[in-house]
Amino acid sequence: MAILKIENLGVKYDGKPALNNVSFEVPENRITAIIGPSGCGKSTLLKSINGTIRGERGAEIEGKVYLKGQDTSLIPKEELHRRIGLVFQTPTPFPFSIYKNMVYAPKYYGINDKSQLDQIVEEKLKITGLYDEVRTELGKSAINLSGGQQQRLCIARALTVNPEILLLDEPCSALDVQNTAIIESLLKELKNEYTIVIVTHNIPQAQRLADQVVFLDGGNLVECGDADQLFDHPKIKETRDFLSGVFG
Amino acid sequence: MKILSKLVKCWAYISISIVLISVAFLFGYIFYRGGSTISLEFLTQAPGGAVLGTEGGIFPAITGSLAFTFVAVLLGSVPAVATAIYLVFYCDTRKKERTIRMVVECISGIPSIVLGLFAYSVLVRSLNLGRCVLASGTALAIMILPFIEVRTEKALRELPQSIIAASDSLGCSKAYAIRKIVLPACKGEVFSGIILGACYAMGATAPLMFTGGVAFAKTPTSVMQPAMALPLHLYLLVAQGTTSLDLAYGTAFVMMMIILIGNTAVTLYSRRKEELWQSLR
Repeated sequence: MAILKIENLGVKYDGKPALNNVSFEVPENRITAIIGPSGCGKSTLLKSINGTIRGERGAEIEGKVYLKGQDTSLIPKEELHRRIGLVFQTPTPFPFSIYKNMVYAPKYYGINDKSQLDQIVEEKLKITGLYDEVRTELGKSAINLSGGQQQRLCIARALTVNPEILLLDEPCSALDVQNTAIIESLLKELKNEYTIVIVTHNIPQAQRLADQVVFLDGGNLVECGDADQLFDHPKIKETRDFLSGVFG
Repeated sequence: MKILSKLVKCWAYISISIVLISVAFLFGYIFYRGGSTISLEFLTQAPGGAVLGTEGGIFPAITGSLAFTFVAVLLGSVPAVATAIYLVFYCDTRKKERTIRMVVECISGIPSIVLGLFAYSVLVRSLNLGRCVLASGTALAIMILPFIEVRTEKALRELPQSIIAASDSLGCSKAYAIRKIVLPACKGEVFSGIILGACYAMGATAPLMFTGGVAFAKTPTSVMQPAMALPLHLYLLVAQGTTSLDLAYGTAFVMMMIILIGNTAVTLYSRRKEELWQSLR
């Protein structure tokens, strides 16, 4: 069943098109990978899904994005961001302790009970496999964590608001092989509870992770389909060329 | 090319030397002339003598200057910081941003004597406040507003935007991010800007001349009273002629020491903050 439906989505920046008439559906509890060459509109698509693009200067948006059948343009921006979480390419820990990073959003949503906050911190850090590594150092600055740990912290922090969908914008591009493997296995586990949409430059990563793949080029959706089918038997020539490394 | 490069280097060294020597001479001369006047009495007593200021000290001028500066900082820093926050986080069109920036730049271009005249005609005369610390403090506040705004805005813009975007992606409001992340992270720089603005206000004479600064007054106990100020006292001592010149140098010495301490504290603090931020980037 599709949790997210993108219908004729178009985005222009200062009149210049970045996405043209993109339509596809995102199945629930699956990993959808968005692939394509640099500048093809992958990140723009991600920002359109969680509505971040609405506040950007010079951005014009056409078409619709439906979350569980609800038009996202009618959902208040803050609620939409809570329901569709976003993890960035570069880890973005807040300049305070690991614990404070984790309780930042729950406190905003009115949870002030210490035991409840402790429970959220423990539960979400455990999901990302970070709890055992930092349990004795929760008061330590998040800035001092390694890059991989920072990114897992950011994923755990995104989970503290219980999003329905988790968007990840090239989350492993700044990480080494070992940390990339940890994040990938984490995402595979997370899909049981969350729907995941990941933008990646890394084709092998998309092959390892994705259930569904969306291939974009020049702001256009070239091909969208089941990962096995798209990687093994792409229907469109551009997809075949991209996957075989002819361009991109 | 080698000769040209040597010439440019030589020109730079000579220019730097001239600047350093001039500053060292200025400070050295004032400290040499003024240092001998400094005593406990000079710092703790009110001015006296047949011609005012030829005897006694400058205590009411020190407290008066601090009062003017305090009011200026209080009235100037709040709108300055708010303007910077608006420009960085809330201003949604370039037109609005350009207009606000133009207004701030215009304020910074107003001669301080004109600000004094404005405060005199509006606050002292029209609103009938009389010569008082509040009227002078308001003129000084307008004068330092752009100074603080520009520094605060720079500090806010230097904060990695990705951190704000990360807060935004959790569905938290901008106001919450500003309160919980931005202001705690930038408070050092904002505070530095305010202290530098205070130093700037403390050295200004023109805005006080018609509005609240007087030749003699006791330490003000209310913002509705006039007060003495170090720069104005210095001006009056010099204007009286050679009889008070040593005391004028003493006054300049005290004023420069206060400003120097403020600037040094800010420089040391900023350097510490810079190291912290470099570890963040």
